[in-house]
Amino acid sequence: MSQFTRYLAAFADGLDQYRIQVSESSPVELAQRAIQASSEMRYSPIMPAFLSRGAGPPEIPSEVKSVTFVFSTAPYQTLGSLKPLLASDELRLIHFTLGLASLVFLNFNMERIEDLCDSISMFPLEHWPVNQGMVRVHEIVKKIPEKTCCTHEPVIQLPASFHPELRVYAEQIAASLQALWASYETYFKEERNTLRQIVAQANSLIEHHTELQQTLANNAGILEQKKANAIRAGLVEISAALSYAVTQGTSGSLPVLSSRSPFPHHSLLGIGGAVRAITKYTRSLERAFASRSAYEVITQRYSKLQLSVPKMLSAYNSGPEYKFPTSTQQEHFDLGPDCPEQDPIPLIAHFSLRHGFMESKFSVTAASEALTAESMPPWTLMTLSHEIMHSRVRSIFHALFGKTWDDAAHSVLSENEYDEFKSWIAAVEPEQRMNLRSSLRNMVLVFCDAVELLSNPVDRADAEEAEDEDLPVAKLSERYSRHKYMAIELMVHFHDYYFIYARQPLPYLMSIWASWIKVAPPYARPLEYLTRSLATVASGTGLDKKAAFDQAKEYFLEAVDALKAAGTTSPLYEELQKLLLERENELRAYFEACYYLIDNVRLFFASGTISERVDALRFDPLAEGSTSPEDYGYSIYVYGEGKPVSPVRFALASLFKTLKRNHEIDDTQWLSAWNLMVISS
Amino acid sequence: MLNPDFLDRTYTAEVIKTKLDAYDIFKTISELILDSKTERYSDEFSAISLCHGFATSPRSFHRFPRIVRLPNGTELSIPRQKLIRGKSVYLYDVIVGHCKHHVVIAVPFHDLAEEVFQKIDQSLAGKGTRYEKLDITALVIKLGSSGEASLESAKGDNMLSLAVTRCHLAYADQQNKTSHLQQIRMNGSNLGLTEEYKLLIRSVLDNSQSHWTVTPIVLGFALLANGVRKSSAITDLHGNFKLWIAPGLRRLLRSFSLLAALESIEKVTSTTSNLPILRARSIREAEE
Repeated sequence: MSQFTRYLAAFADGLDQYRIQVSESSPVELAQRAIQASSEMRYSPIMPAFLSRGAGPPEIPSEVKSVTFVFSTAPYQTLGSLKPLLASDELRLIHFTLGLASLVFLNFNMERIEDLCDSISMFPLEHWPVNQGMVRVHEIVKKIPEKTCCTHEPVIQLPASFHPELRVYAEQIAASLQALWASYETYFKEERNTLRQIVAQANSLIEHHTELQQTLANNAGILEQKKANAIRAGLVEISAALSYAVTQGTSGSLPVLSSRSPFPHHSLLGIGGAVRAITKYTRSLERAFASRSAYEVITQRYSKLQLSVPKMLSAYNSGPEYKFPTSTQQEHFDLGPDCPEQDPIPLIAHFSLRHGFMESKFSVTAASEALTAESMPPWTLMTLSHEIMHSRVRSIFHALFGKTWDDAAHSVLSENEYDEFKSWIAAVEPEQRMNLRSSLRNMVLVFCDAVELLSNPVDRADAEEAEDEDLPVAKLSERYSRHKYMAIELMVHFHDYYFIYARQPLPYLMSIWASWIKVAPPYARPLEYLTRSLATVASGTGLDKKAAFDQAKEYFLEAVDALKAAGTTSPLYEELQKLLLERENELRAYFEACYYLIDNVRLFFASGTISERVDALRFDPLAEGSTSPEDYGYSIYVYGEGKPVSPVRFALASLFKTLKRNHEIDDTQWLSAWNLMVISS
Repeated sequence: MLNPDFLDRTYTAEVIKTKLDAYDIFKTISELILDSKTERYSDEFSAISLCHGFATSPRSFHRFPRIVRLPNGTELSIPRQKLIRGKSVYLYDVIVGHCKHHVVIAVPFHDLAEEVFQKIDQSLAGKGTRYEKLDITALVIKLGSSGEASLESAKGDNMLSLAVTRCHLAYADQQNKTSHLQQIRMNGSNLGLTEEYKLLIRSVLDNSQSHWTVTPIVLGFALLANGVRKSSAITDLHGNFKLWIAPGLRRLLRSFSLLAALESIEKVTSTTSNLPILRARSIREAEE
């Protein structure tokens, strides 16, 4: 395996005495050397940017005479504009990084740097002259471009609270916002708008809390107290996420030696570029989904639309109306008036070793492993889309079950919801007319009830006896609470499959089964995971349940064979194939329940207008008119030229190359950094 | 007269464009190729330099060797072979043409182009090399449903026109996410004269008319002077060209008129610093 990743290390030999080393050896060796020399060492990976096809990694210069850091906010495009200007021996000396100093030039003197001003003068830069390995600290050149924009940008009004319980959070949020506001001016201008939205959210929470405090002062009940607690928890989350955004996103800014990154393995340059990548990834999806809010569509349209979903799960057999339309007919979700997101809550994106890929109300985290292994299936940014889809599905549940995130009602299901469910079930007509919002809610309840019965089969006689009785609200609520997660996961799967994987069964199945073999739950509950994946690729086929299962099974076996052929193996695959052989009836029973749910989700939540925005086919310079990852023009020898890529399509194409063992080089860390660098641009 | 060995093949080409005269680039490339011979052609409007030589490779890019009988009666095996530093290598044509700020480089095999063009790109590093490419969607729109456009001739006496001879369209059903239709390929001497072409490119001309996102990914076109076909080329989105060069390289000479004609159409040509051959999937498939 060729090693393309390099490490730029700065050893502090004394006050203002820094020894520079560029090394291809393991950073552990560098750390060991620093311990032996009792010196502090900071280092970051740097990647040679211009590789030649078929050639190995470029040689490291025998002597480092200077290091120039260019803080390009669009390094992919900057590389594209630099390429024709650099001689072949210079091309070898250009590196990209995961830091805010996104480009590092070795051995370029200041005169040559000035020559390249057309490409880099719009970005801050820092130039370190080096003599016999020592940085000439007092000769360091720092340049910040003059602000050309003279338009007056309105400043943000920081949130404040005098309430003793909220003061600390308001202060922390204000301090973080201030730090980010200043940093984004130079390193991430467009993200200032997000700060405005966060301020609005924080202010609204504080205001809401103040109102609740007044109610509580009048001896209000436990509900108000729970709401107040939920609001505080929300502020804590915003505060914590912003704090991470500051420490991860702003360290490594100019001057480089003044701020140490919290990531020890990126201690010299930080990971500001990678944070910008996951933020851009998140924003691109948020923008697409904000164009048509699920919450608004459900509450404005579906609550008035008289349309029902089948209530008899056992009799559900899909049909042509469930098929993805083949004509110009629009999806249900896209009909009616515009429903843009009213108060979008932007997710604050950061990396986390502890949480891995995770989403919550105000933030989303990417696994820190992605910094070095994004190009591998378990750590691909495609998982970030899955987390962001959770946010979308949460808003669907809020709209269906009439609860907002800070709602703290006593019961899981309201009396009204239960009554509607009861009358729907009891109706003699097979499809009682009722509004679609209620129908969809009932569908989720039917699904949860069915999964409960599948998990705990009862005697036929008992079941027949029970059929005559109403399911009490407590029992229905319990079943809903127990199996809601599966309904959520299925909805997320659908959103992932349809919007992110552009409804391509093989790439989807290969991707999820390549990553699921690396985590524990699929080993613990293989039947559930297998069923979920089969139902997902069956959705929208319109096939009857038997044929849908058979086709999904074929897709699954083909995907597993393709993974094995490309060298991805796991004993879990054998276990799943055994399940398909030996427990097919059981699988089919679970599949039918999942198919019922996901097929109806497909019918009412697929949106052509949103998916068009996610794909960005007309704008993505690498797209070549297709959503297929195989047609996408992903290449490590191609550099940016103006238009940005669609982050989702780019990440999917990279993942597919990994799954097919088709990457041009075999250096996971280099490829991961490349992907993050391109998306950050 | 320059007479390449692989006249029976469509050549893979790229076009380098410089701000000033590109003769230096032409000279640098000519010096890279083996046994190069240069000839100059001129008319009252432009001077064209053509250089023919060979690229050496131990790899065989041809399927079968061909034996040709030379005028002196001797037989020659094509591709030629040569012993270089004790190793036998094949010699394949490399043709370089220069006219004003354009340099065209052409070789007879796509795989060979991947090797040769990369070497040339490396040797030109630092010279501000940029490759010309066409916005083929814009060109299809400019040519309209007739697939034809009249152009101004530099000489003023000829009626120049462009006609579409090949069109590969990628279809994406982003609204409904179906994959029932993914690509359509058409070729012919003048597609614009067919109803089928008009129908198929309707969504390119007006994307509100269909739920398909239709992207032209390969386009072939011919330059006609007073209705007589003078030269033709196929290109993709990235600046890869396929040229039929013809004996005596007459068609290659005329390709410079084709480039000039294309440049006279507003917002159709642009340049890229990316080496086109590294992104040549669609045009390669088109050839296969």
